Amino acid sequence: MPFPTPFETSPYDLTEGIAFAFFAIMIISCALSVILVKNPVYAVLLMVMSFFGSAALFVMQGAEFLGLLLIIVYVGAIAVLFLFVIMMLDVRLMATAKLQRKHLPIALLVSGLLFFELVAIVIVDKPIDKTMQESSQGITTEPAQGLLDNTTQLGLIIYSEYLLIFEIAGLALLLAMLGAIMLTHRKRDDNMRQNITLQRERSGKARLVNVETKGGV
Amino acid sequence: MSHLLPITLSHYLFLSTTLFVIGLLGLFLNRRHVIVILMSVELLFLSASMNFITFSSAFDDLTGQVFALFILATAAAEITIGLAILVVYYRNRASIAMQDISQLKG
Repeated sequence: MPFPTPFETSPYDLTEGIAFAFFAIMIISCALSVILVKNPVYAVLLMVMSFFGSAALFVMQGAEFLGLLLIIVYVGAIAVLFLFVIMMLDVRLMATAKLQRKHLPIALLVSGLLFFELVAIVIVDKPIDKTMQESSQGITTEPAQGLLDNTTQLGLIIYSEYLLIFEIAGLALLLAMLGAIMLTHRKRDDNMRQNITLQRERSGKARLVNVETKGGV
Repeated sequence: MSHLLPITLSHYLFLSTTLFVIGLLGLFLNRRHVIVILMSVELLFLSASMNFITFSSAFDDLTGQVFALFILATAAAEITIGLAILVVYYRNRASIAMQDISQLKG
C-alpha cells in the first residue's frame, strides 16, 4: 500500500444511514426499472439515475474523484451515446416487443443461486466487518486535515505505481475509438471531396503557388 | 440513536450484490432489445466497481479505486464498440430485435 488513505475515525451519525438508504433504494429501483421498462429512452434515463445514486455513494465512501468521474463519463458521454443510437434506430419497433418469459426459470435459478451465495458470504464472513472496523472504524470516513485529498492521492498512485496499466487503458480507449470509427464509417460516392492530385492533373495551368501576404497572386 | 444503524461494509456489499443480480436478470430476461442488454452489462460493471470502491474504502487502500477507474475505462470502450456494432447491424438488417438476431447462425 504505497499511499494509504488517511482516514480519520468519525463518530457515526444518523444522516449517513438515511442517505445510504435513500441512495440504495434509488439505485435498486432505477436498475429494476431499466430492465423492466418498455421504452428504451426511459431505460437510459433511469440508468443515469442509478449511476447518480452510485456516484453519491462513492462520494460518501470517500472516493470523490470516482464519484464525479462517474457522473461526467456516464451522464456526459455514455448516456448521450445511448440516446444518439436509440434515436438513430427504430424505437417504435422496440416499444411493441414484449418481455420474453421463455428464460424465466433459468434466469431465476442462476441469479437466485448467485444472490444467495454472495449474501451467504457476506453474512457468514462477519470477520470482514470486524477487520474493517479495526482498521478504520466504519466505512464512511473523512480525510484527516492537512493531508492530501482523494484526487491528489489517486493521481500520485496512477502516475507512479500503475503507470503501465494506465497507459494500457488509454490504448484500449484509443483502439475502441478507432474500432468504432472503422465500423461505422462508410464511403459515399456522392460526397464532395477535394482531390488535389486530380485537380492539378486536370489542366497544365493549375499550379500551387505560395501567395505573398498582402501581395496577391 | 447513534448505534442504531451503522452503515458497514455488509450494507454496501448487499447493495452491489443486488445490483449485480438485477443486471444478470436483465441479461437473461430482456431478450427484446440489444440496447437494454448493453445497459444491463453497464449495471454489472457498476456493481463490480462499487465492490472495488467499498473494499478500497474499508481497507484504506487506494488500489481498489485505481481499478474502479480502469473498469470505467473498459466499460466505456466496450460500450463504444457495442453500439458501433449495433449501428452497423441495423444498417445491414434494418432491425435489432433479438428475435431477428437469433437467426445469425453460421
